[in-house]
Amino acid sequence: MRSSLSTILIIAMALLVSSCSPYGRLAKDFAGKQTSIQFIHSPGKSPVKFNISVGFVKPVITDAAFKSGQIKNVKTEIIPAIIYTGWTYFYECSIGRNQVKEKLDSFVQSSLVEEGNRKGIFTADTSSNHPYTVEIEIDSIRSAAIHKTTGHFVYLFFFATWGSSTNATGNPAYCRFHYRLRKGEKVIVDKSIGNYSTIDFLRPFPFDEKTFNVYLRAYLVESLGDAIRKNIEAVVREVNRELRVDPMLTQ
Amino acid sequence: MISKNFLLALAMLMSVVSCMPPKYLITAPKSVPSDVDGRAKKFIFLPKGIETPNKFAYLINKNRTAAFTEELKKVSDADTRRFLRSIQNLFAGKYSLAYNDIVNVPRSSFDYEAQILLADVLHEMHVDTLNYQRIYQRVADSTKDENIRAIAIKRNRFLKYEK
Repeated sequence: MRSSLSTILIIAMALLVSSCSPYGRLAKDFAGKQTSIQFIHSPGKSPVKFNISVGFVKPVITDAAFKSGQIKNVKTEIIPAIIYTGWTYFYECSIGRNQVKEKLDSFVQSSLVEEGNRKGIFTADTSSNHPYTVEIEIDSIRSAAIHKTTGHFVYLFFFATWGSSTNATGNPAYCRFHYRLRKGEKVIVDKSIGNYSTIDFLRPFPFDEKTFNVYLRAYLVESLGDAIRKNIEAVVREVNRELRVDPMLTQ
Repeated sequence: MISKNFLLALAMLMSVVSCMPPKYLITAPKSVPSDVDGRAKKFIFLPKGIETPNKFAYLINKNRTAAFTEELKKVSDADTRRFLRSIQNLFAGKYSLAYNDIVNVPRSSFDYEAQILLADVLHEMHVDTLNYQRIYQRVADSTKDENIRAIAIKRNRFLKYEK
């Protein structure tokens, strides 16, 4: 009799704690939808253009780890006591291709062309038949955060109280381009540029968990866009620098 | 016959809705822009030319329509009047009225904040055919006011967070 009672109690506690896991809600609100990665290009004056065109070839994403987004349980802490049960779930939420609304390689290419036309001393397009072409491999790309949910349940005879809170921490996004600037067949620049995102997280107010998960996805996609934007601006600056020392243009 | 329970539920719902914080926050022109506490708030700066910006900010934020209308009579410039009335109607959720005013203000007015306000109104009216990112990019490129630029960039963030 006593053993069956304790079995029921254990099952009840296991059900209670597992029902507090945020996984199901994260799968639906975080991983189940898409966010646009479109960003605002840094404002600034357009430089004087030379009569030269640069082609930006569609980038290739070679980072094998960047596939579809994941929600991975990294740690679970449960404190089962007689009158108190506490739990903490840690999930690593990472962004993949399926959380980004745009097709990432095409988006990076069109953003490079736009930035080239805004800030380049050249005109930019996607053709590879120009004297200068830029090829890019995105060899490191990630955007992830640790989603932490803590909660407790206190019960004493016929009285009970419970509560929970949700937070997210971690370095949001990093992206690295390995790029080559070609003049005809000759490679004149072969470099890598990597940047972290530095934007802050907009917390939903008033707080609710669904909105928090949606905001987390938006934040991680946006952070990825921020890191990509920095790389794109660096590539265009580098192309400008190389073209400025080209004797054909400076004659 | 409406039951008592229905009325009670309706009253509770209305009290909850009325307690929801507004997503727009109207401030005087020289305030520090939006990222104050990382919360999701849409800032609108009042035009620099008006004499009593703090009073207008208070009246709009507190939804004091009658006092706002009285104060508006003191503003002589027609575009500023339309801009302020549009903000007030946007804040009050009267989007058609807000549109009727702001659509008649040149987009570049008030350091291009008129363009942002028009986009806000159209966004609230669920006009999905516009490329809002392009609009905010144009404002960020064109305005000379760093605060307005910060607002345009943050509005683009809201596009992602609200969908």
